[in-house]
Amino acid sequence: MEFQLKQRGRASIDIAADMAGFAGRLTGAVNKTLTTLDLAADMSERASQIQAATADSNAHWFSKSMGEWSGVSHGVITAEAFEEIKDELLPQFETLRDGPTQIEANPDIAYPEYWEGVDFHRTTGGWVREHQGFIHGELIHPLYVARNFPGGIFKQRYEVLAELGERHFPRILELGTSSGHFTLQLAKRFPHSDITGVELGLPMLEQAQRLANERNLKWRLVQAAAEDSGLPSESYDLVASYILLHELPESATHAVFAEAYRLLAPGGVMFMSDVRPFRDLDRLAEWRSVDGALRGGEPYWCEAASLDLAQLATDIGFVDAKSYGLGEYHYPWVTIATKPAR
Amino acid sequence: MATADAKADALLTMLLNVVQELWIVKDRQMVLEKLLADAGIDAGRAVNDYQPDADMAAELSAARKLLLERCLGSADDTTG
Repeated sequence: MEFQLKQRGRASIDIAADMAGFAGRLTGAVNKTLTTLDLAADMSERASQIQAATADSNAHWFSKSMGEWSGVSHGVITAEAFEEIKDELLPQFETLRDGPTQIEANPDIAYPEYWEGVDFHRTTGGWVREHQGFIHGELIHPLYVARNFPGGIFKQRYEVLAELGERHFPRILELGTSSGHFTLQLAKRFPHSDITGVELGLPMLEQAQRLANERNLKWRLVQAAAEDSGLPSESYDLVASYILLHELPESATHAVFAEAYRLLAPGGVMFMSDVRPFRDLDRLAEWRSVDGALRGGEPYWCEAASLDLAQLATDIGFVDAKSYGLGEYHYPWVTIATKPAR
Repeated sequence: MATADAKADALLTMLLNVVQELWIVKDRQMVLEKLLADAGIDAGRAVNDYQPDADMAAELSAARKLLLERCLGSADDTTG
């Protein structure tokens, strides 16, 4: 999609991204001063220890304040940048409704209680805010998050698929399609497969539709909850998601795994990529993770990071379930499991 | 030992540095736009629509990082 930000939007996003990077540098510097602490197992006690150790630290105080500012401001800044160019974009949005990918919207959809009204990522309106798909997919992720995220957030979405080996999956379902970043990588890796995407937020599906139609890709996009897709049983060979699970409470993750099991044909594979579990982090990193989740508007991160997803998959009935992290940063954390063949 | 007053002092220092940098830029901007207007160029519109090429983007990035260090660098008290 062709677009050009105006000077204010461009400069605002640039400085916000660099300020987040600056704060990250300070956080790293503070972490180095905390490595000698013998941190408690109990999180509450650990937080008190860290608070005491950083009471006199300007760097810690500043990086916390900057994190708070970034958490609140990035959504506002990018929404304002969009508003500056909205009139130029809307005709493109209209044009890209036409194409091989169409959305099966559900005007009567009942949002899950854990999802409705939640301002995920501290963005007012969450995933149902009008045009949030564009704001998230074309501004926040590439222009703000990607600048400070090690490893390349788009590259990682493609490279993770190497964990599936050389097997071909003719029918692929993505749960939690969002704005289509991972869907695009699935299509790139499996160009001859039929791809279906399920997502609750209609503005997000609209962005995924635009990505697909401008590339002449045919996806089936369905507005539904990942845990209750309404799709036929045993209809897919691969059910996948990318950073969906940390947005769900534990109960919903159980339901998503059960739904994946139902949807998979015998011998099919479930492939979920997400954040590192707490058990893979040292105590300081775990505290940082919890603190970051609070500031970043991630209400279910702690529940998600406490789960043993391989065990959960096994309990549901999957076999050969395994969970592990990729690369130096153990990210993404992959869970692969197979539905037993008949 | 950094007290709440010391933190406030550090914050005020950063803020004052920012105000200084901000005024330098605004002053320059106002002067430039006046000079250009006198020469018949609608600078406001041109700036609004301007798209940096790779070289300019790199220059802007370097200048941003310098600005942050200049204005906020005093926040880093982790090293001697």
